[in-house]
Amino acid sequence: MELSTGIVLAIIGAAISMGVAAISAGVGVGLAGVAGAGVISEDPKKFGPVLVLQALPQTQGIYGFLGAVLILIGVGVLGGTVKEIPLGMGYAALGGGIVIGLSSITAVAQGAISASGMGAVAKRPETFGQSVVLAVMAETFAIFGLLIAILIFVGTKIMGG
Amino acid sequence: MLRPTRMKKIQILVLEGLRYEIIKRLQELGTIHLTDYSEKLADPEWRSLLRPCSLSPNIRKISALNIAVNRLLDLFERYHPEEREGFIKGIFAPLPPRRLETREIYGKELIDTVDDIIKKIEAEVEGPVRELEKIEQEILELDRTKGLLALILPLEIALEDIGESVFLSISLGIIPKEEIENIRERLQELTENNFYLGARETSENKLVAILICLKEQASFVLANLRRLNWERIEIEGQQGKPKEAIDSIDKRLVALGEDRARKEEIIVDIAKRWRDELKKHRELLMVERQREESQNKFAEMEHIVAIEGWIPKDSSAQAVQEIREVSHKACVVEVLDPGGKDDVPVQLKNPKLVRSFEVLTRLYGLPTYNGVDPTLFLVPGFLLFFSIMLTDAMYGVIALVLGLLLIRGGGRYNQFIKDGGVILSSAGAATIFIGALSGGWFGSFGLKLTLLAALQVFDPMIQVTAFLLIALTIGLAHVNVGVVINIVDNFKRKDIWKAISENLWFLFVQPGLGLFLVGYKSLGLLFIVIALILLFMGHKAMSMFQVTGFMGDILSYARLMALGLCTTGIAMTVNVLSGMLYAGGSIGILFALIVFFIGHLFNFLINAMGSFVHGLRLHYVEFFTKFYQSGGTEFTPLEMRFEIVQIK
Repeated sequence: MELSTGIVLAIIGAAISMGVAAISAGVGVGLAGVAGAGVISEDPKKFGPVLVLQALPQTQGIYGFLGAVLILIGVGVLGGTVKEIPLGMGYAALGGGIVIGLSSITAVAQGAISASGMGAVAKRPETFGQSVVLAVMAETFAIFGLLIAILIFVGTKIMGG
Repeated sequence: MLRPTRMKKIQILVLEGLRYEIIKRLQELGTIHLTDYSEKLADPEWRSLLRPCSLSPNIRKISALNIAVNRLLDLFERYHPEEREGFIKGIFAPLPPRRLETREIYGKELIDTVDDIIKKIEAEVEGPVRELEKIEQEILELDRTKGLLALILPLEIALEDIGESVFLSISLGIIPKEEIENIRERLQELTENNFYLGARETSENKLVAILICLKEQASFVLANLRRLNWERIEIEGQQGKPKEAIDSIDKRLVALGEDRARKEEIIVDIAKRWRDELKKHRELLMVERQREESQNKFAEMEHIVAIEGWIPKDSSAQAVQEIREVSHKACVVEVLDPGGKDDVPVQLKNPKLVRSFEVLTRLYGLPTYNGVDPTLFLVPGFLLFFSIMLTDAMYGVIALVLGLLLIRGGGRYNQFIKDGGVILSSAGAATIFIGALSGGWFGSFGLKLTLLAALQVFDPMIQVTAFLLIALTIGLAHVNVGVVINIVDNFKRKDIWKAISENLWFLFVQPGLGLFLVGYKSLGLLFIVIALILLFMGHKAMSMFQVTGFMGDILSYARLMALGLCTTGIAMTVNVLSGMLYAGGSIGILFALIVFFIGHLFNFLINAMGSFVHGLRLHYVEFFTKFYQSGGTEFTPLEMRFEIVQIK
């Protein structure tokens, strides 16, 4: 099967989107998990809030996944026949993948916030909601990254029929 | 509804002798939030009139009784643990809480009764507990000895022969296999060949050895051997060969076990008889303790006690009447309006269903007394944002069903679970509506049914730009609502300057830009100029940041579209993956179903959480900041709260 350079670029874009997002989300969730283990070692009853706080940095990984899937579906690698797409479109897909991947690095910071939030909850359980809000603030930029990528995909007709 | 409950300050002066009656009646009323007089007494003028109330002597007695009661209940729990409901069952289908009836007991009678009960129980329980401790001790010792005996089992010698006789010392030890030759050599040196060493294999690659040497050389030899990893074994009080000793120990352990079971039965019996009584009285004691401790907030002078607190306006008349009644009119009661500097406690007042959403406001922080209660505004906003971000009608159905289960399950007895259920089910209902409009039924799966497809007016994956514009417009509208609330609130508070200078410019700049862009250039320019004047008036050097701040706020609402697409995108992915598996024969169909089910469940959980969190976040950061003042103190009235006890 001969793949045009455009398709290959799009696939690389999808790879960057998911790959970098996976690293970032992994590190973020890891930071939070390390703190979480400390909290439940002192009080296992706090597992619920700890789990929720640990789940928050995961969303960047989901955005990376979504971006990769949108690219792959858009160029036909997934679910249909591989299309012949022009080189430019391939670059556009690559660009979209890069923006999602880079903006997902906010998950690392979000993981650090979640970790401190767990410390707050360990000391004062009533601060759980506020800790969640603090952690979510870091996600704004990942969302903007996803947004720009979607706009790129729509504008270059990778998405949106 | 838009403001916390209106409060009045209540001040009471009453005769010293009626102190207890008054606090009991206030507790029964449950409508007064006591303030601490000691803050006022920091002022020397007040201190010349009043002193802080002396501590009630009963508090110490009540604390001691409480400790004793808890100790006994812990003991009962150890031997006769109470049945607890499982976590899931507790949330979705809990049993009604058990209530214990009692007549009202309080004051001295209560303290004496509890004292009595504790003495009775302790008398019964003391003997068996002591016996059990002895038995446990002996069992421990025997187990230890048994362990040692197991090690020396291969040696078939009588245990009473171990030790010292007239001329000889016989001792046992454990040695690593590889050391035996070293030890033999050493022994030959040390005792000039006057020794006997016999060894048998035992567990863990070691040898159990018996050493016979001259008595006077024993300590010297053994000290040396210790350096060669000779672990000495000493066993006391046993007869016969190791096997026989183990058998006799086993017999004794069985007897001890039976004895222990018997004693435990006694305690279980005591627990069954007395546990409910103790729990009942523990709660009564807690209520009593509250009465005694609240008196710390009072102040006193010659024969008078001074009490101050806050009471909702609508309850004040009844309270005054009750206080007069219980003190036989020997009191002075004043009901005043709150002063400007008072930290008035806050009680939110909302209609029934909105009340369930108060927990979302509380998560951020209670409003100040003079601030706005945003809960009513939070409800439509939150439901709208949640449903747009979750965008799938079937997920909405799941949420609705879960919410209803919560309400009818744990929500019958637990307010917090009920609130959660109300929020979840209303969010679910809203999502069904929006999901139907956007054609999301497990992604595009449900669109196979023409009925559902007919409901769709909007496809978020195709009309992406339109979706973004809708999200931003919602954002613009939401921010405007926040600004309007802020301006109206300031007007009501007669702070005209703030009303005009803070955010009014924003309400002018929008029509200004709009008119300018559609061609009414001069009119538009006029509005814009007015807006700029207001802006600089209110914010001077920070004006630029106001503009960028508002721009950022509105852009933040773009997340409505991003998260909505995210849900739809992942749903689509799940459908594509299961579609691919479906084509693979009968095994494929099975896997397809598994992937479909787990994939959509995962998508629901992640995105429901995300929609919840981001919906709230938009309110907290973009909406509340326009007008909300948090930091209010919660209204916590003195009240009788019984969980187990039911007063006949």
